[in-house]
Amino acid sequence: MKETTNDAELISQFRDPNLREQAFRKILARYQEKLYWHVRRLVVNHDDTDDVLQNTMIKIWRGLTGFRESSELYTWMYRIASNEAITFLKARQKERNFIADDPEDALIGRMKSDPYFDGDEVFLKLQSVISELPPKQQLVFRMKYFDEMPYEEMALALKTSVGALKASYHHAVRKIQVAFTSTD
Amino acid sequence: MATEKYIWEKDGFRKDPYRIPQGYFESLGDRIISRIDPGTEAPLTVRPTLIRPWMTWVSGIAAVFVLGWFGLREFYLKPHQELQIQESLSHFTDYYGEELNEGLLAGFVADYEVEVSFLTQIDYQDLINAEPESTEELIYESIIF
Repeated sequence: MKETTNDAELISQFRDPNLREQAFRKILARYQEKLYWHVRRLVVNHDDTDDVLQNTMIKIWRGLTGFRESSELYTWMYRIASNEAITFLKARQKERNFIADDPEDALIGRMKSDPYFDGDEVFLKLQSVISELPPKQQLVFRMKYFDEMPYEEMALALKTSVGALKASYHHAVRKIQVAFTSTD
Repeated sequence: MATEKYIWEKDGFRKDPYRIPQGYFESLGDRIISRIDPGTEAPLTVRPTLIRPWMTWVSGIAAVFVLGWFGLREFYLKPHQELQIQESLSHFTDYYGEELNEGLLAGFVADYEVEVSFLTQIDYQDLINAEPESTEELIYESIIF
């Protein structure tokens, strides 16, 4: 019979130095795929996702002992991953604007060079337009559009209001439409 | 939403164009663990709080007792005590009448454990010289409750 340990038990085991690594591996095994796909849809490139995910997991390791369990473990991990991805997107946006002559070309080039990406031209264009949005709008748009996450769930994960999320999503959709119509 | 529909039509589908290297998730745990320095034990990030939950309870209960005690003292014990002393004083002065002197008065004060502010409010000689009917009033005025 397969042994299943709930999150609270895993957190409790993690607080015991002798069981810490074993508990952490179980947490990783349980949530790594979900977090990976969340981050991947935000940062697109696999290598970038890998970096962001590893940083996320290290932050989770460092913070788990003090985790107050006022929210679900996954919600807390999801929030850390989202913040880490936003930090990455901000840095990438700055870097692209600073280094590349044409930031859009630079981004599409990076996506095309990713061996683990099969997007067609329309998808590349969409990604490129999304990447021009402010990082928080990117996050909200990707979570709603690609993950089809309900606003209520998003509000919990991002610690914000449903109204603010709806406004962000609305702005993002408008900007994307304008970008597409201008190139038609 | 019309604009969202527009993007869907442009995008055509929501298929995931992403792939991952084979065996990626199998090795991810090891790679993360290898990056964690065992020396960096997760520090307890419990925020210092000035008031802990048990302190709130204790201070609440203490406040109830203090308020209760002052309420009882002000509205029950003190009027009751004043009345008792007044009655006793009345009997005392009636009994001694003109023979009342400093020594007898001190005895009364000691017997009833009352604090008397003779020096600030009353002159002893006034007490001694006072008419018997006004003595009780003079003594009572000098008593601090």
